[in-house]
Amino acid sequence: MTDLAVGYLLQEDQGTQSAIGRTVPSPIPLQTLPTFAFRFASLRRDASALTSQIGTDHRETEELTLEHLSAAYRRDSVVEVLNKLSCGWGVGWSDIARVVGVSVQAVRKWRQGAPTSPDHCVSLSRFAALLERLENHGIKEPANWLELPVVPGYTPRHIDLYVAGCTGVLLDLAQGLLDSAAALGECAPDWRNSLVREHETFEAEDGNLAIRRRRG
Amino acid sequence: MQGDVFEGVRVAGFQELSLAIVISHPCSMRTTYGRLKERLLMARVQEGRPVPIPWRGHFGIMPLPELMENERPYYADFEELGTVASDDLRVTRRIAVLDDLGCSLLQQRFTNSVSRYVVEAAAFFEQSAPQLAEAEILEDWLEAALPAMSDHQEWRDRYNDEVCECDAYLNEHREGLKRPEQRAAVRRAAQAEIKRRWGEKS
Repeated sequence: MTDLAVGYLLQEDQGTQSAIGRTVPSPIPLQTLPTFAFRFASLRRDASALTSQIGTDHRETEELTLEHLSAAYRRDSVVEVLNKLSCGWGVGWSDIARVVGVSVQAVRKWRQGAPTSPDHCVSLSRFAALLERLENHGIKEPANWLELPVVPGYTPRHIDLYVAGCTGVLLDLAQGLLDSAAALGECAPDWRNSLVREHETFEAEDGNLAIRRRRG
Repeated sequence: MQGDVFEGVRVAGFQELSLAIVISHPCSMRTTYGRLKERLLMARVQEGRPVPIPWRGHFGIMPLPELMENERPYYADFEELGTVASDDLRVTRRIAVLDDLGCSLLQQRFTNSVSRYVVEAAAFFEQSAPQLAEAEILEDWLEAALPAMSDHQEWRDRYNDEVCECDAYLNEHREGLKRPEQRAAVRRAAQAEIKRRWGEKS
């Protein structure tokens, strides 16, 4: 038990201005242990509720930030946003098409100036905003990061979380606020059973990637 | 590209022209200099009964729902395979393409139809990802490099030259395309190279 924790509990007990962190002589009398245990349980419940509320508020703030960034990208032309995605971040056309929900051919036509629907404009600008936000959070190559699996040996890639609507989870993951297993658990509770990869790729003798059953 | 559907195709071993889909794997479609091989493996595409989702059973086909505007159900028939001269596969006769997921599902179903072995689609996607990224870069390159030409042979010659040029450029970057953590940098470099060669219009 830390001196700080004991000092806090004693301060509550005594109702005085005891200095936090005051050392308490050990051993602690046996009759006060259940009280301490009860107080700690109460603290843990309060902390858990607070953490949960902070998490919710944080995700809402991230969502508002994403919307704000997205609005800025909507002021650019679709061609400019597509150039930023491909030439700036190196995102492939197939990933852009998948995120927006159109064919690659449609994206190529937009690149040549063909008209885009308002919904697709919003989707494109939101995706650009996501990449900028990932960079803000220290992901140096967000396009690469999105292509990587969330948990090695399991199917979902980071971009799959975004397509599935788990943007809050994705941003928490990028900031290190969630570990990968917890992130997948939030989006697909049965992931350990239903999304496991039984096969892996490897470099074959001809230099191309090939497929084999996972080892180990 | 694997998954491209063409009309008016004569698949070797069959008399009549038909729709057909490219089955050849992206790794094995091109020669050393990036040109398409002389012949590609294709499966005939036929009209049939709708296959309900999920596609349980029907191991000998790949359903191609909504292939045509008439909304009738079509499917690639893995029991009607043959090779086709790649010169006969003109872009003007290409009526549909499969996206990356579609290509992965095509490979998954074809593998199962010839071996009864099941591999998750994600493994096929990961395996094909370098070639799919390369195909995107090649298409960007050709879009920028090829002006509209009325003479098909002249266009074909210029097309072949630019395919070789792009292949030579990509030779220095193929290792990067194999690795997901390097692919974005290769794409950026390729876009910069295309702009350098043909200007901002690309």
